[in-house]
Amino acid sequence: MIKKFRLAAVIALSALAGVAHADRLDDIQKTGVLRVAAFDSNPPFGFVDPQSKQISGLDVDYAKELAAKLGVKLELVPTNPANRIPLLAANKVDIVLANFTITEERAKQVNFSIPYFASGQQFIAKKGVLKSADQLGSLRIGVDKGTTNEIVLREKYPTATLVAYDDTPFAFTALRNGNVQAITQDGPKLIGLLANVPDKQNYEIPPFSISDDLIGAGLPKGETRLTEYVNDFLRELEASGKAQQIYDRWFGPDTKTPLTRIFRIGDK
Amino acid sequence: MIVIENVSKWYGKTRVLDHCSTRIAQGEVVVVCGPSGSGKSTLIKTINGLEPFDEGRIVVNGVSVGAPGTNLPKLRAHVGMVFQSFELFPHLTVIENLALAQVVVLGRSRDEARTRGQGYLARVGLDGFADRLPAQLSGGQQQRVAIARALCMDPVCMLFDEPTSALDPEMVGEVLDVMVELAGEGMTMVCVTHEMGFARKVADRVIFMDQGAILDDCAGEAFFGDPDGRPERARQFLARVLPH
Amino acid sequence: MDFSVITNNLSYFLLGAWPHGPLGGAALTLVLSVCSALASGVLGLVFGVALAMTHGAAHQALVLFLGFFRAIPVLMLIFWTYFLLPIVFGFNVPGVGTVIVALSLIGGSYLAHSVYAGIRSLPPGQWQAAAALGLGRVQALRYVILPQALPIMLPSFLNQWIALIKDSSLAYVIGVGELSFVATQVSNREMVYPTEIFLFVALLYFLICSSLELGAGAIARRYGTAAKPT
Repeated sequence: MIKKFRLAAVIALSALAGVAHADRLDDIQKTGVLRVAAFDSNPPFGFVDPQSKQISGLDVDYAKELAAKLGVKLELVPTNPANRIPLLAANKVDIVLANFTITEERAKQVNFSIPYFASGQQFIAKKGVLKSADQLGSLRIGVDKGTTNEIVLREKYPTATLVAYDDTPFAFTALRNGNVQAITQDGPKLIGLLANVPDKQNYEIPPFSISDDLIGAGLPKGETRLTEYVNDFLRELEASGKAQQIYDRWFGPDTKTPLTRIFRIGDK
Repeated sequence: MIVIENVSKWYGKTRVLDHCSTRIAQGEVVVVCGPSGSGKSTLIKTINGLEPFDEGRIVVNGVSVGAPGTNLPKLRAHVGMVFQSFELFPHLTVIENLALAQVVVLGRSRDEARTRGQGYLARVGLDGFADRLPAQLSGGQQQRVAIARALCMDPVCMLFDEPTSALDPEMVGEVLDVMVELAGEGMTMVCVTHEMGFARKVADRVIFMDQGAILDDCAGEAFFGDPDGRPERARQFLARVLPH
Repeated sequence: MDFSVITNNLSYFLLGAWPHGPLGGAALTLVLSVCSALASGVLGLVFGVALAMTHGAAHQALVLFLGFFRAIPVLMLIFWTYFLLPIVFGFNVPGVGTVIVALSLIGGSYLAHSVYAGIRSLPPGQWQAAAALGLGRVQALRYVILPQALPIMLPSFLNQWIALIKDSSLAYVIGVGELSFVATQVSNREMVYPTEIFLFVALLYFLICSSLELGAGAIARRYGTAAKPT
């Protein structure tokens, strides 16, 4: 509730203050710094690397390529799901690269780039608990606050009991402890999560998904030039093969989380 | 030296001072007495502006106390006051108590202030107590330090607000001795006190108050020597406080 | 229990990404705490003295102002300062600054009342005695009242500062990498060691808070005796 209220307050005030002043693309080039909001707790999209102690992951690789193309320094700002829109609205970051699902609702508040990743909303449960989507209505399910997963699940399975957590790992801890019977997130994120669990043989990701989600970069509302720039950048990345390289680094066959690439930038 | 004209004061609807008027000349020793709650302490505190008043006029050494532009701190620096409960500063040693206002208010050097302080300590018979803390002294000793503290400021007059009321009986004498000595040196003094022996000995004048009003204002000899010339309330009061 | 997760990530818990990135972890918690303890102490003194020296409308306005900061949760103030100031006033406060400002304002408001209470706890005769010697109100405060009131206030300051150390963990809401934030990052990556990690974090907070208490106790013993009647 508090988070929702806060978000509403931020949005209302940003509307009041008016959004368009200087062009953000010019600002980035002038200051020489690209500020990117990335997850710090969601492998393999964004997490703190134990060796380098820096935030790294698939989203971070995209951020690095974008900064390189712009010829500016990259500044990563750690975020949780709920802070993504406030960070953009308050001009704390220039772009959100944090597994940000494109929705109509969010598109009222931020600009989205073309999608660079696709996933479906899936579940993790203890082995044997969850066989088909029909069971969802009768379970206690952990969700991440401020995600589309929460909204989709509420709409499609109104009888399910939802418990909201700050972040996926919290939700997973609740699952381990038996507070909830399943947790839900985007499939690739769940795969990344499960890959890090020592007793992963006790859990499974049932082979069904309840939505098709497209992931894009979030940009400040009304920043058309910057949005176009990012779109061009994404298309170039696919054309040059770099998008495939980045994907393989995190989801390729030699990784902890092998996952066939079903979506290419430009497909949708 | 001190002129009090038609001074009145209210606490809400209660009148605590009722058209008080008197004059105190240089070198005069005036004792203010009366039953408790009669307004004696309030009156004496209006003289240095610690208690504001609502009507009338008070002039001390040519300075009008109640006037808006009056620099009260400057006036008070030269009007010594001794309180019933001593009010030494407990975090400072005796000599620091004596030196503080000299340095901060009068701008004397630390050394000068301490030297003067030592001098007045000797005069009140407390040589050698300079580095004690107030809590290490008896009540009588503390009150003598308080008198010395006021004297260090070279006051033009001294106000005493029941200086012996909070003391054990055996300590009253040592404080009164200091006050008698001071009176003998020609200090202008206004003393609120119940010590009628002291009053009889040194008072040039006695003021008797009841219910905020000055009922009697006469020479010391007359107050103690001429009971029939006293108003009824003063006679009753005297009958109670004087030893039978 | 497997505490290798602590030893493997020890420097991240203590220093964050430093020296190859911004300072974080327990060191940032210390920096946040020390800065906001000092600032809240100064604010508390200034506002507490102001409470004691003002009357009527000014006093009421001050009470309201302080009441506002005592009434809002630290989390809200941090969130509002960080996200709303830039939108409403176009005024950007960085994360670390936001946390220090929020903790100082709220801590300062609590301390102001402690300072006020400490000043009020002295007998009015002390003010009168100082006034009778010709000291102005500010001089009386400085030389007579505060030297006696401050030792009385020390326990309140200590309480407030300890609360403040723990409240610095609320910096997580805007992604400031202090101790509990980096601990959460590690816990989220390692997944199965929350008990070990947060036991260790609790131990660090305990060490920080109790060393403050011990330090303050030593100072009080050193300087407090002179002020106490024996």
